[in-house]
Amino acid sequence: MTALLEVDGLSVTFPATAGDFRPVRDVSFSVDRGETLCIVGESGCGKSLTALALMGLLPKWARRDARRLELQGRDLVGLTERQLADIRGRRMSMVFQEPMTSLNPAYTVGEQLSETYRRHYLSRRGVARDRAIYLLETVGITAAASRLRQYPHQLSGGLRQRVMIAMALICEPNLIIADEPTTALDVTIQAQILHLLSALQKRFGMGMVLITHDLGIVARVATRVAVMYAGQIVETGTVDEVFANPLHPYTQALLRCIPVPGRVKRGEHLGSIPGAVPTLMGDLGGCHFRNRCAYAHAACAPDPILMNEVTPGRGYRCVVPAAICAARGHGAAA
Amino acid sequence: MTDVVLEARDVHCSFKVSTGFMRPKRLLRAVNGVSLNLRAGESVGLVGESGCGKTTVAMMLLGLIRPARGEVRLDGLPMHELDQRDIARRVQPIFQDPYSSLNPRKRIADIIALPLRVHRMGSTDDRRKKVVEMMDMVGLSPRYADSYPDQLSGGQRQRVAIARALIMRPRIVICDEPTSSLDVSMQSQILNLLLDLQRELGLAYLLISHNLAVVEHMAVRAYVMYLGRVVEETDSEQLFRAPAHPYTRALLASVLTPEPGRGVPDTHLGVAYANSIDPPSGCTFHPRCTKAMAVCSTIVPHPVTHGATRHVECHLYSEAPNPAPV
Amino acid sequence: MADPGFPPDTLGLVPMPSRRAVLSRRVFSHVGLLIGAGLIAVIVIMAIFAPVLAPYDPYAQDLSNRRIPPVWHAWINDHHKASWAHPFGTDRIGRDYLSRIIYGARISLLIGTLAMLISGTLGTALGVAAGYFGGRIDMFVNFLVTTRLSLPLILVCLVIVTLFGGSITTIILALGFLIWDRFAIVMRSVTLQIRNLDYVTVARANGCSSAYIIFREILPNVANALIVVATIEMAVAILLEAVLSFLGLGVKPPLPSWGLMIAEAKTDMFFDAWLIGIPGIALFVLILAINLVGDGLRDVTAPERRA
Repeated sequence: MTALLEVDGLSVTFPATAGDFRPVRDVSFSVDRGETLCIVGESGCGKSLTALALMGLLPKWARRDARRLELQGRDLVGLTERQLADIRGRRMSMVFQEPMTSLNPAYTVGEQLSETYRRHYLSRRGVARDRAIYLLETVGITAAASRLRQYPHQLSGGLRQRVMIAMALICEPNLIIADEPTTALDVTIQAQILHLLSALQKRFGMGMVLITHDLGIVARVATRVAVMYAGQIVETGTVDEVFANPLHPYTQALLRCIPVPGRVKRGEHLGSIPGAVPTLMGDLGGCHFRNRCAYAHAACAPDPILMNEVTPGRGYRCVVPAAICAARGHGAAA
Repeated sequence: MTDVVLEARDVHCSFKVSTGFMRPKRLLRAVNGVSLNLRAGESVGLVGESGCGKTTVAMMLLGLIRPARGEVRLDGLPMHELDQRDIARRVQPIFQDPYSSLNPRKRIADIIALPLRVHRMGSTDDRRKKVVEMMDMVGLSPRYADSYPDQLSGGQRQRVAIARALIMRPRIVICDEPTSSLDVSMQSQILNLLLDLQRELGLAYLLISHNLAVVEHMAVRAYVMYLGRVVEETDSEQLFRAPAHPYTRALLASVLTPEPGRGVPDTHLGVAYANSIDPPSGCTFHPRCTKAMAVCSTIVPHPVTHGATRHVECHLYSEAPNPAPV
Repeated sequence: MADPGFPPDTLGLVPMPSRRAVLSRRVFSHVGLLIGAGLIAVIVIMAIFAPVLAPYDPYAQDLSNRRIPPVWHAWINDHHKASWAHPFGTDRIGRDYLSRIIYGARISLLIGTLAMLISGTLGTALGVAAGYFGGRIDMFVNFLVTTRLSLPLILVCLVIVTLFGGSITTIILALGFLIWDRFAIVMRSVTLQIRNLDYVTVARANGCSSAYIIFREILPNVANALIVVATIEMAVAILLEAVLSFLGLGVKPPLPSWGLMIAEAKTDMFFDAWLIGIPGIALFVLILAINLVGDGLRDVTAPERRA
């Protein structure tokens, strides 16, 4: 069986006179049904643009290239805007970060929910309404029927994000792309929303791409992980592999940066990554992490570093053999 | 202990907010009787979700809002009798967003020197020397002195904010979410810096945060706030080992540590959310509480000491009414 | 950190260009701004050096040379009187039209600039005070703005001119005290936004005076918005002067105001259209130039722009 989503060699380029800005470079991954792929990275690493590129929602002046971009075996490259609109919402849908700005303040929750459904199924008003109520109940909103008449500003942040999720699910898509769905929310609400997302994903057997900067979320939600740095995926693997045995120096450094109650002693220094993320203009040549890496040496440049595949689905982008990398990462493992 | 440098005694604060077009203004009780203290050289956490009143508490501790009831004491003196400049010599803030905390039209050196200018300390050359010294201390290259904030990264901006807060050598720093808008790698650098500076300068920190892992790492003691009240006060260790209040438990369960295989816990908090305009009767947490009893919706719990927990406001721990669970 | 064999390469760490470099690059790549600034420069030079540039005295009447058409009539319909002696022709009492247009620029710019400065000072002071202090001051300023907006401009000017006579000073003061509303509204909302930013809170926590906060922390950050409103209001003032003069409520003859020139020419509109056309085009070019500069400045000084 082919994978649900198959991405091979995805790049995003913003042409500019001073030199092309290339925030996403040759990104490849696949997502199966019932699987959650977490793309994790810091701000500016290209993870959000990857999501927008998948949905075909990039700004008009951006250029998207891919060797392969398939959803359920159907090629997404070269579709017209209309064909794409048929797929968006129906086959794959997106949950955005800021629930306040992603809901239209001028329409009620009910109107916005049933709009998507009626766009794809051309059903009667009543059917769409029943469906909207059913979904609001599914995402844990009580008194759903009365909520339909409310406007987004009458709901709290957590409820708005639930509505967003209901809206994404209303046509039973096969793939959900969630871009930092809980970053704007409080911690307790975050836990609730993530709990809900995982439960719904299992229940409907969907594939999910979750984009986040929070390693805690990755560890708890992901089936597989892709670590992004400076436009590239630098490490992939199952969540257990990546957290127990991080191979890429960036992943290792990142894991050392977060305080974990009970593991890092209070008041002790946390790990840190010196230096700054490179500007993603033109060709960077060699390893993108080499200016911040503790182990950088002459072999890191100028030739581009390829993904080393350890086992199928488990890879890292570094010139050093896996055994040495694993030994270095020993202290960082969770 | 006598070395309490900053203390809030039963402070209250409310705002008038409009609830909609043509509707009467209503009272939002942002802070509803909070007491807390900070000792010299100590880090204390103040934990709670947005809207729980923790930022209002910070404003009162900085002398920017006068409590409607109760008082804030700084070095044993009532805050409202002190001049704002006297307060600034002892307490300084660091805010969450390093983008809005630096004036984009000022040079870095001028931003850091602001407190010195206000207090007319030293000549221009003296100030410049101090600024360079301070930049060095927070790990900023002095070549940024004449740059503008938009030429710096988020982490560097937060270093500027820290330098500005410390240039007067205050004894207390109120850090309002100092790292929550930063990337993971920047967050760890800033936390390390704050720890080093504390050791070097003997600072006391009030660390306001929603991130319990950060609080646990930095602070020895923590206050947990819910809807304008401190519902639990305890040592950090106790907080993580045996949280007493059901809200603290939910908060702790929501901390997602990077441990694969544990999944996302169900906090059982329900979708009812905290509204400080219309706070629930009795214990304000009861609509979301998994352990709610009949008494919780009618009677406000009183603070009690429970074992190693210094202070908890919950009927589970009060001796007197001992009703059966609902 | 890196071993010695590994050269510390730049790795895309593009050095941040200086503020001035960014600004000048933006200015010189903004065509509208350059055109507008060029046109304004020409008109300003014209106004300043009017006595040198004008070929005749703008008030000198020459009744033997009335209604001479502009020079291009000599080429188009071979008009025997049109010549380079009067490039824009003469009006109905024989005054040189080019000289009057050149001197007219003085009046338009003088009235536009001064009225804009007066209204700008007034409106900014009110707006910033309302936004910064809030409460009763805000309510009072809002009341003033509403009152001002309910006054019909032309009718108020009519009253003022009947009471005090139509001198340039009267017009400048009348306009200055009438068109401050946009300044007040824009400055109030911008100040409200900035007032809640953390750097203002830090200044307050350090015991800075309100004056320091307003002048050093807030005003530098509202400058962008202020410049844009100022250009709009200047254009409005110039147009209003022309309208008032056209209606006979503005400056009095024989001053060479462009609006007045149009008014004087309206009886001849169907016979000698250039008498209206030339001052009309002058007015159009000046207003267009000011608006181009205003739009340009807004684009150029905007903090974030597509790279």
